[in-house]
Amino acid sequence: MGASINASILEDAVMTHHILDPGFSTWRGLGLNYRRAVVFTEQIRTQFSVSMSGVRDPFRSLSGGNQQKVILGRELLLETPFVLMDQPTRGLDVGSIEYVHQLLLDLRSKNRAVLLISADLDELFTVADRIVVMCQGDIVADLATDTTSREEVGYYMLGGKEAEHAETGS
Amino acid sequence: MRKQVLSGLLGVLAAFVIGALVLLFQGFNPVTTYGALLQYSLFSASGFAATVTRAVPLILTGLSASIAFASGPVNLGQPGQLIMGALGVALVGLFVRLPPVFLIPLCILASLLGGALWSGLAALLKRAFAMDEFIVTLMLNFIADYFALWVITYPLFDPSALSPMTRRISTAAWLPDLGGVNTSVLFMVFAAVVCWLIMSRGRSGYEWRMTGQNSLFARIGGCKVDANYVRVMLVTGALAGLAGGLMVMGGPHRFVKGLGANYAWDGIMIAVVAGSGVSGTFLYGLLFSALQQGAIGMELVTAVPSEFIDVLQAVIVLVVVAGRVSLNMVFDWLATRQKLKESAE
Repeated sequence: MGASINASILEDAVMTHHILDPGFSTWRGLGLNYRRAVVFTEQIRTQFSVSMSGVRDPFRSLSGGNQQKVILGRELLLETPFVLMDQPTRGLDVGSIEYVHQLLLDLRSKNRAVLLISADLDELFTVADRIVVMCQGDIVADLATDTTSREEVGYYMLGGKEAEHAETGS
Repeated sequence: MRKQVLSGLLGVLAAFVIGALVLLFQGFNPVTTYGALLQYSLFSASGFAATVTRAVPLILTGLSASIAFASGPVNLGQPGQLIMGALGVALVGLFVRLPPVFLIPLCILASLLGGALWSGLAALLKRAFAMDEFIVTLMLNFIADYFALWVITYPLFDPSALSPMTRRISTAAWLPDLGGVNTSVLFMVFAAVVCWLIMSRGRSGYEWRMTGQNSLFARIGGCKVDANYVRVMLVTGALAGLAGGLMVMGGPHRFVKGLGANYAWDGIMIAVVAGSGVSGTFLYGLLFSALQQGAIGMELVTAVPSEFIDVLQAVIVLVVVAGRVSLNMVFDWLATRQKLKESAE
């Protein structure tokens, strides 16, 4: 979803919330409630364990993992029933990746639909219930994670057809 | 914030030192020169009044440029918008007969509309034909300039005058002086406070700033980027127009050839020095106004030509803008070192 690198953490954290949550507006929608924004950013900081020295520090002063956590926190706190994520763990350190995976599983337990786009097969096998494989723009397979294997997913990724797959029985 | 003030003060101080070196090299005494500069701009009642009055167009066009640059649109049309605002006031002041209570607000409105019309034209061309406002506003400056010249040379020409100018506007539209300080200053301060509220406390200011920093992010975040673009153009045009209107109402009380002078370009320069911040623009506007006003006194007392102030202004721009980034790096470095020390203990 992105962020502005030069803005403060607080300013990046309240994007979209400032429109959807009436608690962020003052003076009949003319003003932005910065006090509320500070509280909200502190909430993201504790709930998503972001390490930062102050909510008014520039966003670029955060490490990549912490930037990602702020963005994830902002989007997940929107409480939408459906979440689409594109490579949410790319470039993160191992600890942050585990943390994001835990978050994804928590979302699933809360009955929120998650569509995770990822090029990391290990990640998909760790968190996904179903794996849908796309090849050259088409959906070529819809597999249950429990009954499939890396080999089968790889086969479809490389353009193997379902019928041929059944015939060879591999 | 504290860092910005510190780096700004250091930059200005360094620029004055460089200016002193230039003076020494030219064989002038920097102490008496700077003394005269301050004496005639800040430390005498009449000088201070003139400085504050001169700051009105500088700060208003500076705010116009600051808000535009901070929000994304590169509005460089302040000179033209200023002229159209002044022309609006001239028209209303010449042809409307009302008591001051009604005529002054009406004139203010005319100046806002005049400026907004000119920037709105650029916004319209951008939205309809995707023409870059950077070049359109710049070109509209010339059109405004020559259009105004035509208006004051033919339809509104004052037959008793020797050079192109309109007749005096209705005295009901004159802004009175309060102890040498023109009341246009009050309008300017009010406008500056409103600008600060919009940019630092307002929801639209937040959206504008975020759009200026990363417009794709703002768009995905739900900000109405296109509508905001038009609003920013109209607001910044109106601010520049107000500058022109107040100049007519407070100063010569008529549209004179060359009214806008270099105020609007100086305003854009002030916005750049201030890093597009509202409070910074206000303070640098006062500083540049003091320099320009003090230059007159300095020329009176010392042998230093007033062109020296142009040099000093240029040095301030270069030193402050160049120093901001490097000083921030030094500050960051110091802060990190401090933190490391604390964690080591």
